[in-house]
Amino acid sequence: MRKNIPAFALITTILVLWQIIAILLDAPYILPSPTQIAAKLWELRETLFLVQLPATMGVTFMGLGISVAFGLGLAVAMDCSEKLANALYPVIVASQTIPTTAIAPLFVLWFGYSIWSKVLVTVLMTFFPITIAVFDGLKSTSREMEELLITYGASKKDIFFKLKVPQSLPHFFSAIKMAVPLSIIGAAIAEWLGAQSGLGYFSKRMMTQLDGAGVFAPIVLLSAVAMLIVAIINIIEKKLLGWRKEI
Amino acid sequence: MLEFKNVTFKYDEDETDMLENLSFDVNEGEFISIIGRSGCGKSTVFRLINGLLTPQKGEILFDGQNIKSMRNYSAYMPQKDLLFPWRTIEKNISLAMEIQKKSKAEIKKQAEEMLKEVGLWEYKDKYPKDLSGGMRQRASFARTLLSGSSLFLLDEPFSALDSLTKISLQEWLLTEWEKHKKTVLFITHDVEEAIFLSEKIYVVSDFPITHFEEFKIPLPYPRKREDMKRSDIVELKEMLIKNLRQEAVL
Repeated sequence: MRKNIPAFALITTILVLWQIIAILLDAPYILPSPTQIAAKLWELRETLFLVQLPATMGVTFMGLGISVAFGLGLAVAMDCSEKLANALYPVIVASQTIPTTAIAPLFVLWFGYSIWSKVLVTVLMTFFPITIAVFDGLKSTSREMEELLITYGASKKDIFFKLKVPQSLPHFFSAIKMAVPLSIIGAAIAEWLGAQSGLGYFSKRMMTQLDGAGVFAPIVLLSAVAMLIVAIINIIEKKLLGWRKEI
Repeated sequence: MLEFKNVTFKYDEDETDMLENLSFDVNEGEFISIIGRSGCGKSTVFRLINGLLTPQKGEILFDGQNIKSMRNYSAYMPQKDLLFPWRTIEKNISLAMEIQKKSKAEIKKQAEEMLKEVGLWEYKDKYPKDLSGGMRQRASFARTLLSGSSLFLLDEPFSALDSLTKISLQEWLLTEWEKHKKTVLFITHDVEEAIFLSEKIYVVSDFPITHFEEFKIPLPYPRKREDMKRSDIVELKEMLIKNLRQEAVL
């Protein structure tokens, strides 16, 4: 707890400075103060928490789920076949050079305002870290441990489940922790570009009404949710990877 | 039990052979140490025995059968304990039995008996990071014992330990060997360790390896530390060290 004190102090200082500047500027449509944002959050709590947040979370989790399944599948396939890895790895890396925000309107054109256009943006942003991290994890398997298993008569399946999977679990967790905020950002961007509900859509709507606090409120909520999910993943990681402590 | 018949082996990246027409035998129940300078090919011999490498010429036979078609005939214990950090000690020593698809009840029974035998019962639910170096090597040896193989290939298993732990583990290893009647091939750099443990010592004296120089140790089992002070043993030790030094100069 004590190690978090500097971070709390810094955040408090920034919030106080922000509050002072916002009061001095007195232009809430450009820079609303933190207290105005908090008030807005409370005022819009029903729509934000009960309508917009579930919509964004639907996109986020669907995108994340597809990314995990797709990323794990690709990583395992590339680990099994060197030829496949040589063919796919550069393509996967190249896919990250596509500016997602620029291509997203195209997805709206393809899939309309349905959930799939937004899920696709999320998947495009998150499958990369999952695929690469898990693939690197599978590849970082200790050669000596693998040979030891071979001398015990282990099959490829044994090596995969008894060595490669547990050894790449820490990589998987790092990837998920990276992918969660990215998937929320992806969902919000997609909603900005074309949607009928969701926190990104709501934030954009507030923008058109020049409601500064209304723009910020959904963003604050998104950040809080991202932090909460990462914290939950941290707890699961500590439970599952207890053997890593003090290494 | 184990027979090398004119085995020749060369690594792809090397220009010269590592082993050339090497032939030797190991009889059932023997404890043989292999000594030689670093990089002379001792570990290559082990990797050929356990099938991780394949000879270009010659045959390796186990109980008269070519090892090419065999599995799980030898158990390898390397210098590093190679305990899996995510497995508890009980799960670690059960590894080979899991691969052999033994029943859960059988695995548990054998693992528990072994943990008691090697003095690690209280540590069965701990992870390798919680154990000292000596305990980890004992756990690693327990895992080797539970592999069910009758030929043990121990590659400098005690070289990373402090001298006191090393001495007590050497004595412990001999007790275990006498109890389980396994065949042991033991690689070491330590001449005293080789003499104390083994019935025979194979010295690697040429490169590529074409033969082993064989030395019998004139000590009965069970052995005591004091035996190492006998004049004939001291003489043998000096002679072996001199041999190894000459090789190092060459």
